[in-house]
Amino acid sequence: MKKKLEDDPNSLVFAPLAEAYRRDGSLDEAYSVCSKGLEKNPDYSNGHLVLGRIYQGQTKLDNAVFEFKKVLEFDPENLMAHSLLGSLFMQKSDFKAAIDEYQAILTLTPDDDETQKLLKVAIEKAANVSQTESSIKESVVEREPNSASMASITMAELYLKQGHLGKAIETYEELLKKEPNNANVKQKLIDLKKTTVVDTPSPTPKKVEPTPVHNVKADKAKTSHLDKEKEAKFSEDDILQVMSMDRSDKETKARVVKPEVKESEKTRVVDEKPISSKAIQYSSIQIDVLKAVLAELASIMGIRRCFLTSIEGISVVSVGENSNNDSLEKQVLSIFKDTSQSATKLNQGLLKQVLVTAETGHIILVSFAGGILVVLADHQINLGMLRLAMDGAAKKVEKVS
Amino acid sequence: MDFKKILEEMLENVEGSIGASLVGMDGIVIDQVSHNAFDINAVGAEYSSIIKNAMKASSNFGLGNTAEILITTDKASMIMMLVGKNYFVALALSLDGNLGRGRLEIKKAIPKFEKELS
Repeated sequence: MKKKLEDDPNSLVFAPLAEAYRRDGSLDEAYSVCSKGLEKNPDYSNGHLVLGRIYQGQTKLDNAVFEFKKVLEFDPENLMAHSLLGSLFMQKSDFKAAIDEYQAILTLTPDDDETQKLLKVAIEKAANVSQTESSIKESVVEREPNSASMASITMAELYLKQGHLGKAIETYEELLKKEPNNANVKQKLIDLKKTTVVDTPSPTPKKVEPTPVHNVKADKAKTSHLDKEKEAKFSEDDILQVMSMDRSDKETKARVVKPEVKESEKTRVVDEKPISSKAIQYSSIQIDVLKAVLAELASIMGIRRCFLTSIEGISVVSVGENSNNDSLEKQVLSIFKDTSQSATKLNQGLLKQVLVTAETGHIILVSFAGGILVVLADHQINLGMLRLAMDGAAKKVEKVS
Repeated sequence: MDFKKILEEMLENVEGSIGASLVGMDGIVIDQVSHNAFDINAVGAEYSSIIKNAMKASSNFGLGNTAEILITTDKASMIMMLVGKNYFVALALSLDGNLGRGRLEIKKAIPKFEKELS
């Protein structure tokens, strides 16, 4: 490699050579090779990754963070950079930043057990810090759940939001073993288990039951909160809000209902359309997960609206610009149905997606969570990124369908 | 240059393409080429009504005129783009076909079709 670099100083071989020096413990030599290489190839993300690791070895943590962030500028899905940043932020006790990095990894690889463990540790540590800070700030002496249980509940709620029902149940069960008298956790577990039982397909035809009665106030509260999620990842407020759920109901409701929708944001609200009797196959927990997933999708720049309807054309969840025009929804659904029939006739198999591109936007129809997801997006949206986001959303929902 | 030649050029230039056709909005195929037994004629008849519905939906949603429709099934993909107001060109691709290239080649072909049709 050394010979190759001497023959061609512009070669990208500087990065593996510097990495070899770094692994060998020759950090100065590694730095010299890598920095010279990056002068000639400043956009080479692997070079920045190696330089970051060299800085890490030299305990120049801020410089290392800078280099790893540089890698993500060129390659936002670089798992190694997210992972190294996560561990650096943990070292720097910046737990919330570490949570962001671990969540970024889990968005790309949801089944990464190791990162799930690291995320749990980061959340526990963030909860400890948060509790310490709040105990300093708050003069009112109040009995709070201990930090370990708060962290577990936070983790369970996050699992739930990501659609990992099984993991949420496991987390609550573990906590209940430690705190068998925790009524709040007990109730959450019972509710979750009920949902899982309802979700299990019955061998006999289901008796049609009346539409589940939703607590409108509670739904509105959840809705307002969901609408605040402007980023694909959980924000700091989100994590703190989930943590706050363990406090008294009164305090939680006040906190969730409080934000008022600004005039300019009034078009981006979650539809409050009642769910018809046909939609009873979606439990309230599933609806919550769907709302969360669709709200996350709708937060992508360029998405105007997304809504999920049953095959029968009944609205299940709708997020984004308000539209009360049922005939439009039926119109796009008929496109999906007709195309599906045509695909079958033409022996083209099952229809997966229809994308209609018009002058100022796109209509995307996808088979999703047992229904049809319709996304209306602006013309300039990056369709590749949108497809990735929709795949991610489908994976999250798959676990609760 | 005739329609078949333009369609053949498209197929040659797109990896994984199965067939291509120029179809009237009434579903009648003007010309078509196919690499295998894929029934591209039937595609025209089946999908022309879907294009009409998509055009209505785009307009009703305030998105303007429809330019393109992409249909993906678990066996193939179909790109359809409008040629003027009365025709559309359809390109069928296998699942490993190059969709980006397909779109590009159709866009390149549209002015040629329009010239031939004028």
